[in-house]
Amino acid sequence: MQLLWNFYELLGQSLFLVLIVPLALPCLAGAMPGFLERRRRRQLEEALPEVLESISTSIGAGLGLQQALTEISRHRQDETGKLLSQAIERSRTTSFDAALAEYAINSRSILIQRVVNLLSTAMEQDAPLGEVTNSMSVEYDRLNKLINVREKEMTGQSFLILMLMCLLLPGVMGFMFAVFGLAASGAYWGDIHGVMMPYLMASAALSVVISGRMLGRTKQALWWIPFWATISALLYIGLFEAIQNGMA
Amino acid sequence: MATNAQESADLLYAMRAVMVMLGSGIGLEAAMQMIGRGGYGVISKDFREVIDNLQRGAKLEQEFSRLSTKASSKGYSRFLNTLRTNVTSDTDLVRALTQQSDREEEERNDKLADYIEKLSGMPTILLTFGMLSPIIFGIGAMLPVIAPGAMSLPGMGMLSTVKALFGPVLFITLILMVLVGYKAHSSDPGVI
Repeated sequence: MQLLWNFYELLGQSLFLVLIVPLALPCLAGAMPGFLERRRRRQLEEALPEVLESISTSIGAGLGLQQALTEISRHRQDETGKLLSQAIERSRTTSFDAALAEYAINSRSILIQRVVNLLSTAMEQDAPLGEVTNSMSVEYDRLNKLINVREKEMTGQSFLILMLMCLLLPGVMGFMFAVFGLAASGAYWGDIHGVMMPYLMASAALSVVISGRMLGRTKQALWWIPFWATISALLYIGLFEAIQNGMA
Repeated sequence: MATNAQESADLLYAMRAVMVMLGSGIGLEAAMQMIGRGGYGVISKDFREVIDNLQRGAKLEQEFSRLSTKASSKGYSRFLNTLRTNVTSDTDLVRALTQQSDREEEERNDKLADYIEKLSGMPTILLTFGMLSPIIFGIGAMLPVIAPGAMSLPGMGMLSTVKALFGPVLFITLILMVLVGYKAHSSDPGVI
């Protein structure tokens, strides 16, 4: 219980912290769906070249597009398999084209929607589907690699910004002010904390926005601001108080 | 008029889609109709407009010329010129598009590498700004608390001014950090 009171007392050092702490958890919950959705969409997109290659092979073996997709949906246990099974199931009551369109919409991926659009045009034009899907498989494999380059190259940088600005900066500042201030224990620190905590929270917010922009996901990154701002301010004030109390 | 970034964003995807269709024996008009159905941003919009104009009696090569003049990005303009040349001179479009899309892919990789290089020093710069101001002005502001005796020394009276400046200085530091961070937005090559 005492620990809780101490925590409340820590929060009370800054009005901004009092306001932002209640926002941290709901915003964290708001950030999760975006994160999970993106992961799901990328899984579907990563599986696309393999699916197209399987369609091409099946068509080459004499199957039709619907049979090829049924075959794939039976063998794949991942999200693509589930969505395709759903589409095949639906095609029994509607048309195959409508089911394909539904698969594209449910995937919520523009890449998959483009592929389905291309397939529909190829079917309308009586083009050799085996050849079309084979070429698409090669092209989408290359495009997927291209998409992954940015993600792979920028993730390290954006993580480094978060670590430096949201953890290292408040940690160093809290430690330094506490150690310098030891000689004057009992002195009033409210003025310094009152300025430092909003500053640290604002710089944490700025770092979150920059790191999100680097990855091309600024809107999604906004949800993380209250969480990192809270962590930053709490680390600063917690470290300061711990050192002051420990060495007094 | 669409911006360079808007045109470049979906150009490679559109080129590859047209290539796949033409390579499988589908005609240029059907490929254009497919792009025009949507999913390729401003390129879809332009192609839809071309299809509408063709139905009103316009000539395909003139439509390509019009779009090419209007295009902001070099890559898109080149793409449209290649399509126009195919219409007027019956060139090997698939081969030309393969070369062009490889070039576009290379350019994208270069742009991305350039962006990564530009931002490589940003974490350190932000940390330096973020740390130096509070240290320099923070210690000055705390000196009356840490060493009250020092305040009686000649010239130390200005420290009380430093304390009053602590907040505004941190605010200016934040603005500087925003300006440094804006580079992450302004130099974004717009490639996915």
